[in-house]
Amino acid sequence: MDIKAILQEKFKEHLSESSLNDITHAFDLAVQEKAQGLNEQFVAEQQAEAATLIENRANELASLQVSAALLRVDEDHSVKLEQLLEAIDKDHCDKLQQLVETVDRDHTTKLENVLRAIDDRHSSMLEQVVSKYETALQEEAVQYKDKLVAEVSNYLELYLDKIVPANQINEAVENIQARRIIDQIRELVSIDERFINSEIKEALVDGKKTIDSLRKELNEVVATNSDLSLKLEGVESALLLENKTKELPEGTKRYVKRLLKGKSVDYIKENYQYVVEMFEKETRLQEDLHKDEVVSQRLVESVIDRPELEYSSINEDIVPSFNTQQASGVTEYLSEMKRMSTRYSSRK
Amino acid sequence: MNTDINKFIANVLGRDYSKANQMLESIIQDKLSKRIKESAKVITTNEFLKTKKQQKNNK
Repeated sequence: MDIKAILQEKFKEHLSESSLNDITHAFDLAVQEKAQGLNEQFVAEQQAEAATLIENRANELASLQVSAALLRVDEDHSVKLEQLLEAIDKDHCDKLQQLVETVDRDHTTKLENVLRAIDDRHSSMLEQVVSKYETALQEEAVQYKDKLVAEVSNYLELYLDKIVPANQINEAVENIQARRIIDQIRELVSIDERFINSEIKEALVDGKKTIDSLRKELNEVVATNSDLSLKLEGVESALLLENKTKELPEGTKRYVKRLLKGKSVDYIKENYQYVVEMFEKETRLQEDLHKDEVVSQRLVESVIDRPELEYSSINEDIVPSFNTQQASGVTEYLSEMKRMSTRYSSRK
Repeated sequence: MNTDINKFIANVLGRDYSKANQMLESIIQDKLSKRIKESAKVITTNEFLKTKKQQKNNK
């Protein structure tokens, strides 16, 4: 229904035509404005809604496109990354291989050089060891062997002297020789024991008496001869000992003379050098011992703040073991020589 | 003699005691025979002196 008709019907007496037109006009204007406002509002809402929808749609599309693009990029990147990784791997493998080969080659060269140097060094050391060993074997070992052989021989001589004395050997030889002579006499006389009668016995007794007297004279001559031989030997040995010891120091001279006095010439020749060396060695040992004692006494008497028992125990531990080890051979030899000298003197 | 002693020492060091024993016996035999020969030589010298004495008496 038109607003003008409504107003004419309601306010016909109150409103003029112009007022009615004005009101209608105003009303129309207002309606139009309102409609326009509503329309604009609607349009705006629609636009906003459309814009929202479009935006949402666009966002969805964009997200889809982004996802698709991401997928494509991912795939692309995956492929490229795989290719890149393969290429890098291959490159690294090649480089590593080359590096390993280079390092191997370098190490091989260095190792060969080191081995060659070690070989050369060891060869030279081995040559030195061989030369030293040969020297030791040719000189020291031979010297030691000769000394050992001489000592074994001397020991066996002494043992035989003790077990089988010389007088027993002489007696046995004399017995054998007498038996031989008797056998020869029997053969010469052609007498068997069964046919020996009193005459032959008498002749044999006479012969035996003659033989005994001659043997007695012979024994006297032999005794004289042996005395002379002993004197001669004593003079020779004394002369030899004097000649050998005339240039020695007084202490060594006295020691050597004390040990070798009255010995045979061969004995002096054989043992002179050894006795001198033994004396020198013993003197050196005594000097070392005295030095050690003096040093230990000084250490004990000094004012050093140390426990005294340590030095004494160390000296007691070290010195006797050193002496016993070093001097055992000397003392054995000297005791053996003393035994020999007493035996020689008793035999004289 | 020294050769025998060398062999004896070598056998002892090599722990071949039977051979070492043989060598020791040989060494001792040598030494004893040497002593016996020396002793016989002394007696022979005595006989020589005896003969000389007899010759002197005969003159």
